[in-house]
Parts: sequence; C-alpha cells; structure tokens
Amino acid sequence: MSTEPRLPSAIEGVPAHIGSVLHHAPAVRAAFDSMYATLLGGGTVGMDVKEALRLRNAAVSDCGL
Amino acid sequence: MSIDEGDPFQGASRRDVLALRPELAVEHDRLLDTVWDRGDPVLLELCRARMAMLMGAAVAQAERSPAAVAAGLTDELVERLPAWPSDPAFTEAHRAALAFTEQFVIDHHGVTDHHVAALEAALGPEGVVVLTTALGVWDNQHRFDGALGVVAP
Repeated sequence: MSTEPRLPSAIEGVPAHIGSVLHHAPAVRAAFDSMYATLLGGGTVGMDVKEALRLRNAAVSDCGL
Repeated sequence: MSIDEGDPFQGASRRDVLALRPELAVEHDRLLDTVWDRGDPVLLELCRARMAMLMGAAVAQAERSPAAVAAGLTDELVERLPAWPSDPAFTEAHRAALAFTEQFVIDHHGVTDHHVAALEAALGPEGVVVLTTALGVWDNQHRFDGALGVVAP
C-alpha cells in the first residue's frame, strides 16, 4: 500500500500529505470534511460499527491511511 | 416515500433514500454542487457517465448533469464514450481524465505516476483533486444505488 502523494503540497513549507494535497481544492475539501463529519457524527449506526466498517474498507481497499 | 414492510426501499429513488438522513443528504448535495462548481462540467460529466457505464449503474447512466448540458454536452458525445481513446471528438484533457477514471474504476492500485502527471498537466492540481474527489463520491453513489435497488435519481 502506498501513502506517497503524487501531487505536491499546496501549502508552502508543509510536506505533501493528504491534508496539504487536498488543499489544492479548498472548497471541495471543506465540503467533503463537512459531509464526512455529518456522516460520522449522526444517525442510528454507532461509531463503533462505523469505525469497524471504515477499517474493514481500508483493509479491502489496501489504503495505508 | 411509501414504506413497504417487506422491503423499505422497494421502488425508491435515491433522493427518497437519502431523505432518511436529511442532514446528510444536504451535505452530500453541497459536496456535489461544489465539485460541479469547481470543475469543467463537460469533462466531469463524461467521467461520471463512463464510470456509470463500467459499473453497470443504470440509474446513473440515465442521468445528465444540468451544468454539463448547459455547457454544451450532448447525448451523442456520451454515446461515443466507449471509443474515447481514438475518437477525435474527445480532447486530450478528456482523454487524460477518462484514462484516470477507467483505471480508478477497474483497479485503483493500477493508477500510475503517468496517469496523475497527464491529468495534472491537463487540469492542474486543483482539477486532479476535484476529479478524484468526484470519482469517490460517484463510486459510492453507484454502489449505493445498486445495493439498495434504487430505481430513479
């Protein structure tokens, strides 16, 4: 699994990582972060179940993050 | 949405199902609106439609982005998508985006430095982030539709 970004950092002086790369599109990043927070923070499915699903999905997708 | 006790999603639209979590539906729509606002709508729609074709997402294939149509997208161009590598109707930017999209769908581990470099050359780093985010959202949407038997947008 790779966690090596293929885009440079959008923030001067900050190494390339998921946050600094997503910062190339700050409006999209903000909208995604807001949606993700709503997804995780509400509803009837507990955080423990969501976290287990997130980790399982990451394992299946081979996502190093 | 009428609730069928046997299958609560029977005959439901995507909007019906998302309305079960209205605050999440609002955020989902806002994210998509932002994507359409920040990207080339024709290019994005070509990628969305190609993804839908490859994933067999019938509901998504029947949809058209109003922004893309307003920007000049035609059904004829969408119908020519299977021949995008050689069809002169598609620009180099379209080809870079569609190559990235197809590899993302088929096997995201197969996305190479070349795919990203070509996409960055065509769209800039912001465009790469916008398209990649959009592909993630649409991938989820197509699977959501399929898994829950959604029959309409």
